Amino acid sequence: MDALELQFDVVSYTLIALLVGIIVLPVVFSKDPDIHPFALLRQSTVSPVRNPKESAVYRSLHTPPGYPLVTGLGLPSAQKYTTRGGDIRDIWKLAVEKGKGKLLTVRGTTVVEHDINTLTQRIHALGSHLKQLGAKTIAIYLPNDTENLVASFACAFYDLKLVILPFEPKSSNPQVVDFLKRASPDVLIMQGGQLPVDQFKGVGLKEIVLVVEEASQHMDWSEPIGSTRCIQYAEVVSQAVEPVADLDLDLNAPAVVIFSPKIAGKVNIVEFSHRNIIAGVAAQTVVLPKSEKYSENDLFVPVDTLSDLYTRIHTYVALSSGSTVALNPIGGKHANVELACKAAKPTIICAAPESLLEIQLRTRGSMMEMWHGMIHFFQTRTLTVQGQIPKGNFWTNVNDYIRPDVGGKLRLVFVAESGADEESQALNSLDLSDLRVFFKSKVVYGLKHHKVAGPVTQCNVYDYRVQYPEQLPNRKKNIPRYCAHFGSVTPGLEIKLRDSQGYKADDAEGPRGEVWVSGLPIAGGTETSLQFIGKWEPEGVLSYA
Amino acid sequence: MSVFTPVNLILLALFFYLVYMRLRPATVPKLATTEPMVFQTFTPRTLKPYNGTDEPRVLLAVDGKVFDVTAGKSFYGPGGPYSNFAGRDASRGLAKNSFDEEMLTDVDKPIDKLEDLTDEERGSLRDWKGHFEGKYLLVGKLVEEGSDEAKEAGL
Repeated sequence: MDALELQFDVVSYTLIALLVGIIVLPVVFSKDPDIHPFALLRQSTVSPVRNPKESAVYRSLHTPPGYPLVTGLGLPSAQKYTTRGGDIRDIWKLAVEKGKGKLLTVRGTTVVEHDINTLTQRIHALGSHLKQLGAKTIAIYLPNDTENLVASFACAFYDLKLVILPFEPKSSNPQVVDFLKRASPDVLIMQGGQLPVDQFKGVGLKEIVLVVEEASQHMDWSEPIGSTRCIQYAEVVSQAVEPVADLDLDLNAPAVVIFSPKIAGKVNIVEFSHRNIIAGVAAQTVVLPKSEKYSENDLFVPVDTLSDLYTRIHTYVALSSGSTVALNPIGGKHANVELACKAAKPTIICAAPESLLEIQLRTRGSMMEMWHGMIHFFQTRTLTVQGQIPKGNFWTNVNDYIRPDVGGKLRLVFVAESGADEESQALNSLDLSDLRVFFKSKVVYGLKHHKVAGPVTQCNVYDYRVQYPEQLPNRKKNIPRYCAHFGSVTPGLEIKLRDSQGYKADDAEGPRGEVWVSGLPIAGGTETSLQFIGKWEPEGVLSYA
Repeated sequence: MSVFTPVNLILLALFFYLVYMRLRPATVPKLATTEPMVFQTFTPRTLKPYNGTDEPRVLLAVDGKVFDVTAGKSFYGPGGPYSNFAGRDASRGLAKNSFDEEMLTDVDKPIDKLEDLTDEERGSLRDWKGHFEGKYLLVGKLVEEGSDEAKEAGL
């Protein structure tokens, strides 16, 4: 009997305490994940019947087959019980109506506030000036600043075609003259002193509007170049003008013109109508869950240049939702996210993959100590296992000094891969997860394309899972960065994959083929090929094949 | 006295087991997915087996469109009141609101052109078509045997 008697000592009691702890504590301290994990296993609705030689049609969960795609903002119309889609003017009107009455610009560490009514006056002053000139097409070559938005909305209000020239703050585009010749605008709006104006002699411009800093406005900028007049922006917008009543616009006519990235050595002109742009804005507004939508309390900073249509659509979404927009002229493909955000303290940003990868590599490179890696490991686990954004606690905040300082209020980061653009910087799933930890914010990856307004596909906001790439990028072994998946279709579009180049809809790995999209956000038509081979993952998300 | 008593060893093993259970990676469940059906081209002859007996699926054609009515097997399947229509072109019968055998065209004959229908019968056919489009999946089209479309589909 003696042998069977249980012997409890101090060690046993300690172990019992530990056992109880490991069972009870996780129950007490566990929090629900941001989204039920099963909800991420089915992210698209798939049509039950497909045509031969193409995949089934994939649609957003918001717009299953049989339901109309999202096409407009659903604004109250003059008739009862009907809504209208709206046009680009409505975005500014909504910004005035819903917003906090201001727009911010950031210069270094100073934040300047602009009254939105002053900007409305400027829109009308610039618009009526351009209209009086008899101009039909206006080109802008401007950094992210108030002038950029003023010129864009002036074009919308006064029925002028807006040509957005690709702009990068750090390097001047050598192709500007070539682009101008192709688009043949009547007026060019650009910064004074940025480009040698003499090169615009034979382009056929009626006028160049020069945006000049206050300190240089006393100089003579009005010397004509050949037959082209030059005038200062400040001079034009200071005129007091009676705003026009709403013009009757053709919403299907080209209103916004952009230049595609170089594809097979060629740059194409892509024309969007008011309705295309609005459909893109509406789809982006609808796709976010209610608690994540752009709201009046948000501050949005476009960290990429506004000449990128995807970034511009996000800016329009922010304006139309009443969020405050803070513009920073350093905004561009390689903009420093930290510098762009530090002073403005945004809650939502939209950045280029290039600049996000730069900050990710820089922060990763500064993680020298052992605890940096350990804390990072546990915070990554919070994302992938618990399904929550690691907001930081007493222990994990030790790492704060190596994280980029983005103001501390950031909650959403939008970034998109540019489809069919060979120069686009791919981000893999691990990069995105790292960025979530560094920014303490959700990072939403998507797919953009120069023929589509707004995102083509976008990841679920709450999808923090990590799909390990088959091979990690390695410069020595020449392994490139493999792109993460782009998420499910936005509610404005539907996507199918057509058999091409040996990729087929009934492949064992999942349906693969050339990506064809249809819907209203697409420029100049209702169906187009995105000119790359895609693949449907089992959850209904798109990725490169 | 040693600390390695049997009780302590069991407790320690239990502790490590729980730690392992907590830290092991969760398995991702797989959702059952149904493969999308491929839109098919039928001729009267290839449609015939889809009557619920020879083939488990029940299909019928209305005005050149083939619907999958397997969900309504109790009506259109074997023993159902409309079982005559299973695997056949049901257009004439639906237009005339008659479910008799003589409404069907023989599978070896050309597809019924329905040229002799009255306006009322045409309206009735349109209503039935709307009913099928709303309720059942459109899974194919019915074409004449030997036509270009049939050849294209390899029939």
